[in-house]
Amino acid sequence: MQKHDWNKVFDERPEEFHECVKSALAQLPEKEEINMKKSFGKKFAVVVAAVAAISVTAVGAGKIVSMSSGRNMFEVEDTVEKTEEQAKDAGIEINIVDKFDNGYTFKEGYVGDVDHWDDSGNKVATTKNLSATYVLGDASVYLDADQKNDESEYVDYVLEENYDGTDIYTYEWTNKFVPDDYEMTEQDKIDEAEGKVVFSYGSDEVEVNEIKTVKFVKDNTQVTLMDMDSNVDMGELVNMLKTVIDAQ
Amino acid sequence: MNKQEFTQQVMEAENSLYRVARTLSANESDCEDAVQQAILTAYDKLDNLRNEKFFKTWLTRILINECYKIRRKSGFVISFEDYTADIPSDVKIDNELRDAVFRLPIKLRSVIVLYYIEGYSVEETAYMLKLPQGTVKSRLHKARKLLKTMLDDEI
Repeated sequence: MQKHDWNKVFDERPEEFHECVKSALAQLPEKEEINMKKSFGKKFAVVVAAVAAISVTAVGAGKIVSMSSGRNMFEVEDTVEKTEEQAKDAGIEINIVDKFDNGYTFKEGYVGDVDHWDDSGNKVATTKNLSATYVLGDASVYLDADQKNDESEYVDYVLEENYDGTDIYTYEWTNKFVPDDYEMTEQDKIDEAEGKVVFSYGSDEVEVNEIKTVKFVKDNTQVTLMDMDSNVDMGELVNMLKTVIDAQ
Repeated sequence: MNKQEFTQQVMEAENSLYRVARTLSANESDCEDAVQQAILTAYDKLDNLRNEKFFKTWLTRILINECYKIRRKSGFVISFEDYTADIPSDVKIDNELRDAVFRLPIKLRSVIVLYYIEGYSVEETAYMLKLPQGTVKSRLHKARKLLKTMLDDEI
């Protein structure tokens, strides 16, 4: 099989594009030094331009009134309390677990905007998403709380059990990244046919990623825990999710 | 950051901006329109950027939004042939992989380009596309499956 190189998908940028960039930059007026260290309060309504433009348009008067608390990278919180506050400000009612029994501990969290589009390319909604990271040594487990999720076409969850009145769903798969000349074993072929393993080609060595996801839905909020390649097995991940359910 | 510094940062990101814009645009003309508007918007909103080290990611997010605006005007119906019509075949290009990437649905193509070609992390990709991290991961998974299928079929 031909070896593929991600670095060879695109050619160098065309000269016309370069001229276009130069032209746009040349048009810019001089402006005073922008102080990028000014402090932002939690209730500050200024977001990156893409989201701010939407808010301004919706209001119509150039005045931002809705808090698109917007960003993850810039407003990552390192405590449960600050993350919960940010989530509640965004309308996501969730009590965040500080530490699980297996040792996974809250590291950071943030609330961001998620745009939802219909098949015609129209934006139908912008909702809020909470993302939190739990760590144990070098391993991480990720928690997401979404007000709406339309990715069901990509993941087929299976009902695992009903826990204290709440349905818990699971989904897991193995991603096997192999060299171009990898010879599939008979077991590989069986696993692939049964959908247990997905093969990707192009690595130098065989790499296996075990991906597990569990979720529950409460009051139109979907909460998921996702693990990739940590030592957490599905049973343990389900137990972690039960801890999240108990905390609500 | 003054105009000179802004200009320098944009020029350093130019190749990456082209690749991202080309991923989401129907043709070179739309690419150019999107990047021009993104530069103007970013300069205007420069005080929104809290930390200069995030400049490229922040600018890319603005660019992605401009690309989406242009796509909405064109109705989002763009054939694979239209996407690749003005991309010349070149011995330096992995045409097979390029064609497979451009055959992906736009939702999957964007995560593949940002993650594998531009080298952004899952968190950065999620930020730029305004998606949950879990969604980015599931789309990467789906995209890899499709690419594998397409590349196998080409053999």
